[in-house]
Amino acid sequence: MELTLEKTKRKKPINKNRVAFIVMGITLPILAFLVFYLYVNFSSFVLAFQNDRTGEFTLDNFKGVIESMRNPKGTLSIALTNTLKYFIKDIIMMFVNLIFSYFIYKKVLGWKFFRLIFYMPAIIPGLVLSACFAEFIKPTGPVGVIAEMIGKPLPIEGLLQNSETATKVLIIFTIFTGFTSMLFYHGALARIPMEVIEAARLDGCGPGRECFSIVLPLIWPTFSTMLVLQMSGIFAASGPILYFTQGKFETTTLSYWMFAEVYGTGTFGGTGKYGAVSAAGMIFTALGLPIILFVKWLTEKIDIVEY
Amino acid sequence: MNTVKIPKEKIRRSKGERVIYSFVFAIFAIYAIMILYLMFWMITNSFKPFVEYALDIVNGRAFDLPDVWRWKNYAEVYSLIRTPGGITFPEMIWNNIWPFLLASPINVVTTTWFAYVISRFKFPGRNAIYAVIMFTMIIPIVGTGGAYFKLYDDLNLYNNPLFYVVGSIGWGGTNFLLYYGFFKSVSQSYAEAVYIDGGGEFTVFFKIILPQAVPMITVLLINSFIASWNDAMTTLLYMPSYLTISAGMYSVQNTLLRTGKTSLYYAGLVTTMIPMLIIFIAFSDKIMTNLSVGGLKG
Repeated sequence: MELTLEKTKRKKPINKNRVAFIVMGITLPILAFLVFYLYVNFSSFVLAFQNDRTGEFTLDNFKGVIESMRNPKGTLSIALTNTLKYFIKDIIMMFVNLIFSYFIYKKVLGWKFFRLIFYMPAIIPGLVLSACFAEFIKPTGPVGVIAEMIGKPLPIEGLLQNSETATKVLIIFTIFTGFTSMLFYHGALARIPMEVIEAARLDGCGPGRECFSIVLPLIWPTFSTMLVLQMSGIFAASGPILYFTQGKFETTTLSYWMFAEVYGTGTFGGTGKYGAVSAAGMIFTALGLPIILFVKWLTEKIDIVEY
Repeated sequence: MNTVKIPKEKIRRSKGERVIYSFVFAIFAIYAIMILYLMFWMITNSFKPFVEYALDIVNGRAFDLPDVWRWKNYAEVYSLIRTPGGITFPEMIWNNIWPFLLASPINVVTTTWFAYVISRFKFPGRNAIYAVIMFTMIIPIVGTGGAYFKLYDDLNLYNNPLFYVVGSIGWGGTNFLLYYGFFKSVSQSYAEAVYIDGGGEFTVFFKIILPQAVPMITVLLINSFIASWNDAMTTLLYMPSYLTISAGMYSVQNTLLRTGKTSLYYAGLVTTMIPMLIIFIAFSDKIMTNLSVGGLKG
């Protein structure tokens, strides 16, 4: 008698409860993604090649965008220059935020109070701060009074109504209110075990080495994530232009220009120049893509320390 | 009962370090003075009678405190401030509250459920979904404003309260990432105990896992409320008949400033600010300690 062992592949019974849970959990988000991401991007692509009025195929949207970018006084040329200024400021502020949050983590005198103060601009409505700031720096406001006292009066039209100074003032305002992302670094720093720092200091590690050789590698996942997200917003960098100048006095940025084209004067549908917005979006997406992928690749070259 | 406190051994800062820390303290202090003075200036000016404010500004007395403290400015915020479309100040506040009450539960349930499923279960397409979410976060597709506007209009969501409901379904973004990281770190042993007791995935998620995420949900809800309170662009663009506090105050700005009611405008702004400050002070410890972003992979 021959005995044969039959290999049977036993299938795991399907857990209906689990399947229902998974399906219900992913259906709505996937639908939302299909409509509000995939369809919107497809629609934006189509709009870029369409005449806004007739709906016919055209390359005029791209031609108009490129023309405006090539003309030094063109709206998009000004918008691009300002956007890059904001972006450079944002990158610098990332490092400033990191350094400031390091000192908060190291419990500089009054750290709890300063932590609240630095986060205040995220709490106070942007309109409040910008309205207050705008009045404050008027020739008749406190800054104007001080400038008058030291013999350097402000231009009579004010700093925000002057093309030479308006963007600079807006950038200063965004620096002034730009310490709120410290919160994310602080969250990461707070998770570093104190024993690691103390052991290093007992071994003679100085503050500089502690910061760059211990703290930075330990919070690298947070920092690199913030860096990549910051890079992905390269062409969205902007300031509270709506509240201050509504894009006048050469203060517009790409994202504000796009908002203004869609919003217009506030009547339904704005200017209706959706095709130009989409065409500009496509051009800047194509320009931004390699930069972001490069930065992401670069950040992943650095090993993550597990702790 | 007496408790004995064991003194924590502190590592002494060197002289050089003390100089650096003093310098940093000075910078922090200057910043604090600037931001607090800015607020103080606005608050004190919000009490000035309209004429006194105008005269002070014209005569270079911008630093002066009010001669007469006009408390009535604050009562008039509620009676006099009205947008060109007729929305009153209390209505603006309500336009911030009802969308939050309507949209937040949907957003919390959809985002947490989605993040939990993606972080915990292996099923065909899971990695693709995660990769797509990461892609959408990293790759900056700009210029979709026009297409969004057209879509909302086509779906009849322009100026429609359902705009908030549809827009609240969470499928990605920073919140997803934060929940995803959290659920990945929650121990599986709780779930296994429920399975042994005959419970299913719904019980595990809603009764065991979700309650553990409450601190994080609270922080994200507070942040989302603060963000919506401070956001003007969304309602200006999509919900013009339901202007929120920031959008409403923006739309009355020119009228109030041009008609010499600057101190009334300030009183409105201060009133706008107070609820946020109360929320922040009440939850500052939670906000400060519960957020951290992990690495981006994929």
